[in-house]
Amino acid sequence: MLASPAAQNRICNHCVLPEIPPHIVFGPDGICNICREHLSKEKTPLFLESDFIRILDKKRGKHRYDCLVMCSGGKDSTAALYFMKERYKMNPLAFTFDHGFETSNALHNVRKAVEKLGVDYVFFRTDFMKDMFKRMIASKSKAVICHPCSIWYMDLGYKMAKRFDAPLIIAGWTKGQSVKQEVMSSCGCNVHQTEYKAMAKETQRFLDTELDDMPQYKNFPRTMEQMLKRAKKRHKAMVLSPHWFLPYSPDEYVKIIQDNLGWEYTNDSFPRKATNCSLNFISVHNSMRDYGYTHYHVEMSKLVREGTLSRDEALKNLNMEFDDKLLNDILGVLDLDVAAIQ
Amino acid sequence: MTRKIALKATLCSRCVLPEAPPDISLDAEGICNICRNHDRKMAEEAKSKERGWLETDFLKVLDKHRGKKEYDCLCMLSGGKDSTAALYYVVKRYKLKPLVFTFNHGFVPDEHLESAQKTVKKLGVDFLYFQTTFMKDMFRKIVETRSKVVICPVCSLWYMLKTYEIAAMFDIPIIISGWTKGQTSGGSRSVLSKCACDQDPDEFRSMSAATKEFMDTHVRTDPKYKDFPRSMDEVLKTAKRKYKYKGTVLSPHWFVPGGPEEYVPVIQKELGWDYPVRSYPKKSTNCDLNFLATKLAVENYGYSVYHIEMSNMIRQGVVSRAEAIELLQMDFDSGIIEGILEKLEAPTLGQ
Repeated sequence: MLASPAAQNRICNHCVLPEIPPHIVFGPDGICNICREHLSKEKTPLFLESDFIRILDKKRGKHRYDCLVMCSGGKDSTAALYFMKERYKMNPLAFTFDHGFETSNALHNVRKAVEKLGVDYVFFRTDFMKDMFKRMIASKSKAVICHPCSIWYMDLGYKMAKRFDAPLIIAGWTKGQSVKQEVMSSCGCNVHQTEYKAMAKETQRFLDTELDDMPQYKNFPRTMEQMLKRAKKRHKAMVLSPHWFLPYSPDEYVKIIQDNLGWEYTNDSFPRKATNCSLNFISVHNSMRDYGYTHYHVEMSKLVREGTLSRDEALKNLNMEFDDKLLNDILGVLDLDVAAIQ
Repeated sequence: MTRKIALKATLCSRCVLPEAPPDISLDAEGICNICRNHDRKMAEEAKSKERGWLETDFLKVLDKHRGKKEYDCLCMLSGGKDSTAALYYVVKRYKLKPLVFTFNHGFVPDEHLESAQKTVKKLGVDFLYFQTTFMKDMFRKIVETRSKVVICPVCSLWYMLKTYEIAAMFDIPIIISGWTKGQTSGGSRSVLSKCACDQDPDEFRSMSAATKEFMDTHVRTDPKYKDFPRSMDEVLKTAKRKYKYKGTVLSPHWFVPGGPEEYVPVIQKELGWDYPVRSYPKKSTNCDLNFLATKLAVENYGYSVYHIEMSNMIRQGVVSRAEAIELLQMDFDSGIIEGILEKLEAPTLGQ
């Protein structure tokens, strides 16, 4: 009998297709993407993994790198890097930025991942944002620190993608951080949704009025839309996240990156089980002060609605107490202390 | 286990090069031809009217570019004393806005990277770190084929091309290195086109021939490395033609008076810099592959690129012969070599 090349591969539990990455890929239930999409056609008609794969096919092998993967060292972006290389067989450039508040734990996770995967890696560190952070906090602005920062780092992502010749930008955004297709035009986070309206207004006010005396921010984009418009003129790159299409739950992909990349949870991050920068503590402290909830409450609520996270676990992750010492240590980098955030 | 690898041949009585025919021979006075060449060159230079580059000339170049682009210069930083001091001068003495660039082909010890990170944080300058496994196959091939090619000159082709590429990518008009006078002929114009290491002189002749042979038989025939430059001249050509890069590489060490004895205490005090534990030669900050490269070079040629470099420094009076001999001692743990071979997935060396 002739042994087919696929003989060694698993066969889909539902049909007879073997697992052949990157086009035929299985979920943890042993069902292939084709079946999964067929079975759930009515439920998710927008954008399927096969569509994602088609985009990857179009870009693969034509540039210096197939994609730039923005990797913070957290579970979502580390898994995104893992899947881009192993599931979708892309040649990625991993990219990490540090505005001075990334934790060594997170950076260690990235180093381990890129070394295990044997992918190229670029790390960029700058103090450029420090004065803006300081102003935001010291002026008691109600702007949410993470918003201008995300405008800055997405801009940086586009610039790096252009410099290193990568036609795609891959982020680790989960379903909770995005609304599939709309997200592609607003980079992960749609600040116009109802839950963000008040926060977005204050951020806008800050960017419009508080930076005039700081020449280094003369050209800082005032909105995500403005940044994207400018960035796309310089470099046409799509921003996508494999998490919108992957059939894995966070528990499942965390296990995968723990086993394959030696990935570890960080202790010093909010919310629990996240790997956000240390400035997040200040950002969420101020959001609680100013609004009574944070953008992480918004994100996790979405995950709860999508069924990827239980309500109890979300509440557990969001319920964290942090002391003045931690806040003082972080604020100390900006020559401030807790008096600035009372 | 600690294994001492000693140079067996007689050393030149002035520098640390051994008698190694055909390239290096000692005369009746026990002085090598390289030292004699050096004396001749010095005598010629003393007679010639053309002076070398002065710091004023260097300043003129910096002034021309300062403040015109996002970054004034790209500073190559290994985390070692020379490149750390060069960066320190760039920021403090010349008031330039640098982008700092550190590369890692997979064999840079964490200790060196941490030193670089600490320095950029202290100085508050932008920092770009690039890591790749691109060179690993080539390094393994050097060991597997038992080629006599010396790893470092080949690697320097790669990292100089990468540096030019990054400078072009970020539109940075000047590249600043930490090359010292010992690594170059010191502020003379010729060095600017050779990227610090002039591989033409006698002491490099056999090594250069082996490099060329390795390139032709093992590198250019491999599809992965088909575009790999064969010489520093090719690197410069690619930088100019492919990356459209117009800048040059300069080092403050060619112009700032005083050597390591002056700048090491400064960076220790100002930046908290310290000598790394793991590097060959002692007091350097070279990557792990250097241990292997040096061992192989000494076996193949009787001396390594560091013997050449230190000899240069002795002739220029930057280091004493006794100190050079001490620094060049190869009394490192042989476990280091085994660890490197394992990481390269290369066979052990055998005898």
